[in-house]
Amino acid sequence: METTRSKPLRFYFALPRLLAKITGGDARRSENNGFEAWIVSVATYLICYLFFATRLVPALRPLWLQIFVSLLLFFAVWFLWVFILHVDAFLIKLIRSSGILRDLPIRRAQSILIMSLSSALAYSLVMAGSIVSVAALVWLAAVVLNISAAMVLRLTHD
Amino acid sequence: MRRSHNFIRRFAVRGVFWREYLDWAAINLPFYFYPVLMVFWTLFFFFFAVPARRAILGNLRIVLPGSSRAMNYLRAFRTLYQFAWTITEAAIYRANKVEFAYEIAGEEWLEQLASARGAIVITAHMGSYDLGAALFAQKFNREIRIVRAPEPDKQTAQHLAASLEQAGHGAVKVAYNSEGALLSFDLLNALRRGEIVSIQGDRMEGDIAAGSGRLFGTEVPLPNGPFVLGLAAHVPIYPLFVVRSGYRSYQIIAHEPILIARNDRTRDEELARGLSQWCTVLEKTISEHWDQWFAFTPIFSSYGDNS
Repeated sequence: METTRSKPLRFYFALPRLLAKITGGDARRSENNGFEAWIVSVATYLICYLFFATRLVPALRPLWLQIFVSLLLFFAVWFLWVFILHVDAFLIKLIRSSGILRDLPIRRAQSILIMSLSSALAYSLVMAGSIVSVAALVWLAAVVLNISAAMVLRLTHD
Repeated sequence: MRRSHNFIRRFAVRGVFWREYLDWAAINLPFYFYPVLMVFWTLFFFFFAVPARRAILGNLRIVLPGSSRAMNYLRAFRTLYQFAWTITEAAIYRANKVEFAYEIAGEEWLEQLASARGAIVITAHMGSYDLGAALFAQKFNREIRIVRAPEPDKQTAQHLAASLEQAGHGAVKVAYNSEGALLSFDLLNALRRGEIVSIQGDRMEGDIAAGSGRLFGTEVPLPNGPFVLGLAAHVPIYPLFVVRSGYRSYQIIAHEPILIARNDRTRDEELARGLSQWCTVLEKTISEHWDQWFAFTPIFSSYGDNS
C-alpha cells in the first residue's frame, strides 16, 4: 500500500486516461477518482433501472401503480445487482479454477462482466426504441470510445 | 437451539455477517460500484439500526442546538453514510492495499508523537481511527497499542481485532478495556517501555473509571483512564483524529499534547484539568466534523441535559 500526501488527478478508465495523456497529464491507472466512480456508478445503475422500468411500468394502470412500481424498482434493482454480483463472483471463481484469468484481480474480472451486462441492457434499450434510448446510446458510445482508447493506450505502451 | 441462536446473531445489525460481507465486497467489487450501493446500504441501516439512529439524533440535539428534528434525521442519515464509507474504505485498504491520500494538520505534534518515548494518543469514535492507526504505524514505523471497548458481538469483536492487526501489518495491537486492572498495569508497563498507547476518550462503555467533563455546555461522564495513565507514566497525551475528507482521502488532525504532572495541584485537580483540556479539543473537533462522530450511544443522556 502506498499513501500519498497530495492526490494527483488520475483516472481508471482508458478514455479519460488517454485524454490526460494527450493534455500532458498522468495516464497511469488509478481507482482514486471519486468523480469517475460516481458517474459510472450512477450510469450503471440507471441503465439497469431504465431497462426494467421501460418494460414493466408503461403497461401498468392506474397512475398510482406506475409511480409505486417505479419507486419499488429503485430497491428491486439494488437487490438484483447484489444477486448478480454474487453470481458473477461464483462464475469468476469457476473460471479461475480452470486456470484462466488467475493474474487478473477479481474486481477487474467483475468489472468486465458488469460492463458487458450493462452494455447488453443498453443495446436492448436502443433496439426497443424507447424514449430513454438516448441515455443507452450515450452509454454504448462511451463504452466504444473507452475500448478504442484502451487499444490506443496499449499500442503506445501505457 | 444455541447453534441456531448463534447463527441468527450473525445477521444482527452489529453481527459479524455485515463485516464479512464488507470484506467480500472489497475483494469482489470494482471501485465504481460502491457509490450507489453505499446509498442503498445506508438507507437499509438507517431503518434497521434503530438504537444507533436514535443515539445519533440524541447527540445531534446537543451538538447542533436549534436544528429541526427533520433536519437532524437527514444529518443522522449523513452520519451513517459517512460511517458506511469509512468502514468500507478501511476494508478496501486492508484487502487491496490500494493508494489512499492524506493530509496532516498539526504536523509538528505528529512528528513529536512519533519520536516520543512513551505517549498516549487520545482519540474519539470519529472518522477512521482504525485506518489512522495503521497509517501511523506504517509511516513512522512504530508499534501502537489500541485500547477499545469490546463489541457486543463476540464474533464481530474477533473479526475487528484481526482486521486491525492485519491493516497495521502486525504493528497495531488491540486490547479491550473490559480487562480491568490487569490491562491498566499492562498499559503502564508498555508506556514505561516507550510504547504508544491509543485510547478512545469520548464514550463510556462498560465498567471503566469516569471523570466528569463538559461538552457543548452539558456535563458528561468521560473515561479518565488516559489521564490517570499519563500521570502515572509521566507521558504526554496527544489528541489525534483521522477524519474522512473525500473519496479515499483523509485528514490526520494532531493537537498540542496535554501534559499531566504532579505539581502544587492535587491529583484530582490535575486529572480534572486534563479532562477539561480534552473536552475543549473534542468539542471543537465534533463541531467541525459532527457527521463523522460515530459514537452510536447516547453520550449526553447519562447525566441528563443540564445545560
